[in-house]
Amino acid sequence: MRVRRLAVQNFRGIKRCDWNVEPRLVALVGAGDATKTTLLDALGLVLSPSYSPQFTDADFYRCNTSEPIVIEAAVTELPDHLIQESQFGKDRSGIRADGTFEHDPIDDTEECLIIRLTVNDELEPTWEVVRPGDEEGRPISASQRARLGFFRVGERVDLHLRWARTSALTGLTENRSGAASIILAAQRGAREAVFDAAPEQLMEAATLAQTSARRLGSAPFGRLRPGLEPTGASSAHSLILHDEDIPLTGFGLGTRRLTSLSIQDQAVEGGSIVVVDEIEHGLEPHRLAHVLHYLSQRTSSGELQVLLTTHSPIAVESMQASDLNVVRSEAGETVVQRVSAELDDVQGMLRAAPSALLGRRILIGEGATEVGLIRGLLRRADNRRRADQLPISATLGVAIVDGRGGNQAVRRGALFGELGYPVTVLIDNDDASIDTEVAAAEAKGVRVIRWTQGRALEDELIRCLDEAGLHSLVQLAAEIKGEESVRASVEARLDGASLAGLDPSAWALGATRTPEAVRDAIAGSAVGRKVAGGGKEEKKGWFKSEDAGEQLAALVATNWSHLSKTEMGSVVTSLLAFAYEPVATEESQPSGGSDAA
Amino acid sequence: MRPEDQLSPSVRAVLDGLPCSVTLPAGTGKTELIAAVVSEVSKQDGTALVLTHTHAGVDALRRRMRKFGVAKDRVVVRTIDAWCFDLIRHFPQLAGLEVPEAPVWANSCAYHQAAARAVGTHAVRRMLSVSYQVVLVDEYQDCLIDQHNVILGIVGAVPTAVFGDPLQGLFDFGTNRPVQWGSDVLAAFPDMAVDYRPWRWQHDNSELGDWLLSIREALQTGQPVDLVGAPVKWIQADGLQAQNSVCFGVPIDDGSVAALGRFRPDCVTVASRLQGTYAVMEALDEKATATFCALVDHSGPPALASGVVQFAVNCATGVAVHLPAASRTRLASSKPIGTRKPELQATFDAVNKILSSPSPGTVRAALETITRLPGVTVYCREAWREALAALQHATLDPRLSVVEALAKVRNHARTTERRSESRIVTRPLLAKGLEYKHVVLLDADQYTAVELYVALTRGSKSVTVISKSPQITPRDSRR
Repeated sequence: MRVRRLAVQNFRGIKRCDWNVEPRLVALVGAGDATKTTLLDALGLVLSPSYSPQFTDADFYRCNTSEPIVIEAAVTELPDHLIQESQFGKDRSGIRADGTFEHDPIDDTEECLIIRLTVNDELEPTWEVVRPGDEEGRPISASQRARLGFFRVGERVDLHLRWARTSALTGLTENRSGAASIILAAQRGAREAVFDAAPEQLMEAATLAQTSARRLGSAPFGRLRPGLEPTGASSAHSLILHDEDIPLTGFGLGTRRLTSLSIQDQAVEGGSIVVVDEIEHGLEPHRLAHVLHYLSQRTSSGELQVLLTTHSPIAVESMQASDLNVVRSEAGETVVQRVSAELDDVQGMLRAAPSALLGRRILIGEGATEVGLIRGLLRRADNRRRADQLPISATLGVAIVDGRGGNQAVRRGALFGELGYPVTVLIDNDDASIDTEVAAAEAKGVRVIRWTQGRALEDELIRCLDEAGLHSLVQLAAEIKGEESVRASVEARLDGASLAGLDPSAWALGATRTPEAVRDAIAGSAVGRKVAGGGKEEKKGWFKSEDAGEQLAALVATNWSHLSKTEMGSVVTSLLAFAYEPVATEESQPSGGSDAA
Repeated sequence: MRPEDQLSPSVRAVLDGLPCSVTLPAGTGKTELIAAVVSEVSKQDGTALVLTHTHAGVDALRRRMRKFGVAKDRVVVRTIDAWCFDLIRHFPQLAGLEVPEAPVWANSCAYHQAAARAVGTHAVRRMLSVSYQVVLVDEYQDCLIDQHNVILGIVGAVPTAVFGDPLQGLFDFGTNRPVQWGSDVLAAFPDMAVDYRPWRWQHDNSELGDWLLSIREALQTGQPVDLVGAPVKWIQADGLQAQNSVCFGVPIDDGSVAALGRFRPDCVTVASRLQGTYAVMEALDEKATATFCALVDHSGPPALASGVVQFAVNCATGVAVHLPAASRTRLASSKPIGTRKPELQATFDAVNKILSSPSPGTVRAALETITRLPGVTVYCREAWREALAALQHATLDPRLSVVEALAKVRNHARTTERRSESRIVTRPLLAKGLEYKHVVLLDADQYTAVELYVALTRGSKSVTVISKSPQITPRDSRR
């Protein structure tokens, strides 16, 4: 069985959602409150064999019970039993590859049952099989829904380790042996055994109870003795899987969840639909990776469909891009968007920044320096905001991604933009060849911040700093690269002038060059640009690491009173404005450039 | 010996020989064999789909399934028409036909063709193959070619056996032709020979049962049937006299009696002369009632009032005594009728009320008072009940015309058992599949071979034949 489409109306945080569920392995990612779990809950309610789940007003969108909750799931790959003529054989519809319905299972469609759960203001749930265009549906009972093979891992995880009614283990037993009576017989045997083997102390207590009961004039008991409660036995919760002598309830959560999942995987002929909320729960990273690998194999062999949510970068990293589906929710409209498998580029991006998909808004830097700079700027701003009791960047779900080059950065920005994330890309402006990509990304709503025409980050900063600031920058470079190396690279750009110390003002005087010429030379060295006319390629700029970038952020902060009036300052201000942009539902104050200081 | 003890070799033969056809003469345990096959399939956890033509047939099959202890979820018994309609109603795209909620049986040809299309699709075949281990079709000689095509589609998905008797293939000939057993049926369903005995007659008249088997060959080859020495009572045809005396002469307390005419007017005439002691059996789509309902819907008050009286005269004895032709003429010219007899007053008032306020309700009231007049007995009881029920429906639900109400009444009647009358005037076409203790063939010279065979095989205890000579030559069925 397989879910092919899920439509939700008016359920909890979802006012409306229409999700065309394409793959068999579906990992829902997205920021907190994106209604990922609500989607799984909705699926569970419409497909689960539960007789009467309890609904409350809180299950309605904004507690508004005047609009009914309507959840519709289209299920394909139906089991033989359900498509019998006496069951729902004549209630099948067709679903096309793009998720649109046909009334009949005609050619070019896959046959499906559309199951609809409606909850009205009397909180009374009804389940029906419906067909597009038909006014009335046909009721579908809990036992018929049980044939859909829906299981949820994590919900009553221990249930499935027991031979209980509706438990997967019972299903497994009945599938193989075809006899529920075997379970009952085992339970009756257990009762006998307890009667026979009740220890003396229990017997004594029972005898005392009997004497006392007789004194009080209660019923004239024959022989009170300890025994297993038969109702308990027939409801079957007393039979549970043991490992040797240890009941599985004694094992860790992760093990229990996995065992439960594996039983459910086997329980239904024709394959199950398994739902796991927070797959990483209770699992250490290597087991998590293993589970995902196993699920990927099971699903690709067509025997299982798994829908899971995750907040784990390890989980994201362990999966194919096409397994991932980004969930967003805006004003009650939930959108699920599959990460396109065609975009090979994304794969690298996921590996590089798996947590980006788990965030709310994304800042992409051209390279390590920009990432470091942004991180440093946000850290400082966060400190300020913490003091002011404003939400910090982590709370707001700001993810910082290394673009690995201007071209890549812009393309990645565009991909995230397509998935619906607010994205800002910070790139140099010394390479006109990427202008087309930039325009394309901007057309997708991506904000691209570039420095003044012709400049890279270091250019801009060096041009905007005052003399004292520039001095600090050269000192910083010397700390990173070493004094000799710094001076040598500047000297190379000043036609071999001989420099001393680390003060650019002194360099200008000593080498009888204009301060502007010295700044140009410093900038060239900092960026690592090729020496004009020289044959030798400069190995590397001064600040090409995240650490260096963070140190530049510190430099920006200490020179903020001057920089704030410059182009550098306005770029920093826009970056921070994007990072802390108030979320629609929040009432935080907009935060500006003053945060940087 | 009970029939079921003998059945098991036949059951095996059918199940091992699928797809196949089984020819069984009337009264030799066809229904019993079908139930036994279903019972055997259900014991193997299988489910059977059993199709037949009439609702009476459905009832008989269901009863027999209960007798064999077949669990309800192990067998589905439907008429071919109802099953087809249900299928195409659910799958308009697969069937290539949109149909209304309630079937319009006049379109049944289109329904069958649509069902054949649907049955050919992958989706329906899958449903059939997971639903049923076997499909059995009864009274297959009554299949039209379009229905036969539906069954041919089913064969591809589920092993199928068909049962019938080519000597009982009776038809309302329309544009659609019935299956030819020799060519159409045997080509798809090879003959499976099974043993049979005339069970229907074994208690009451086993000699008659054997004789009825013996005349099959003559009937199939168009030879005359000789009644001399046969275990049937022959009466020389003598116009109305013989018919009346025979019908009145059948003992009242010795089980059911069917007097068989050939066309409805013959039957109505006979029933009217029999003073209501026999009721007329009607076809499910009898035109007389439909015409009357249309009259209620469309006529002006004068035509309606006189039409209501005319309908009563046609359906009951003794009406014309109180409401002669003159009174009908008076009503037709919009004049109320009057009487000095107090016992007639209520009826006359009710009839006159149609002139002043014509409605299904006033028509119904008038008809009801007419039946209370002295000496009035309704003999077209089925038509009468049907008309009253339609008028009642239309009164309760004013959105319905009386014609629409009649369609509802009839659709309901299709799925419920006929009220059984102990003495009935009917026709071979309508009596087929039904059993009586005694039958009277009112005018055996009129019958084709098939009609004659069906008529002769309806009575389990006695058969009385009225004809010109004891050698009866069937009419040419091609007319």
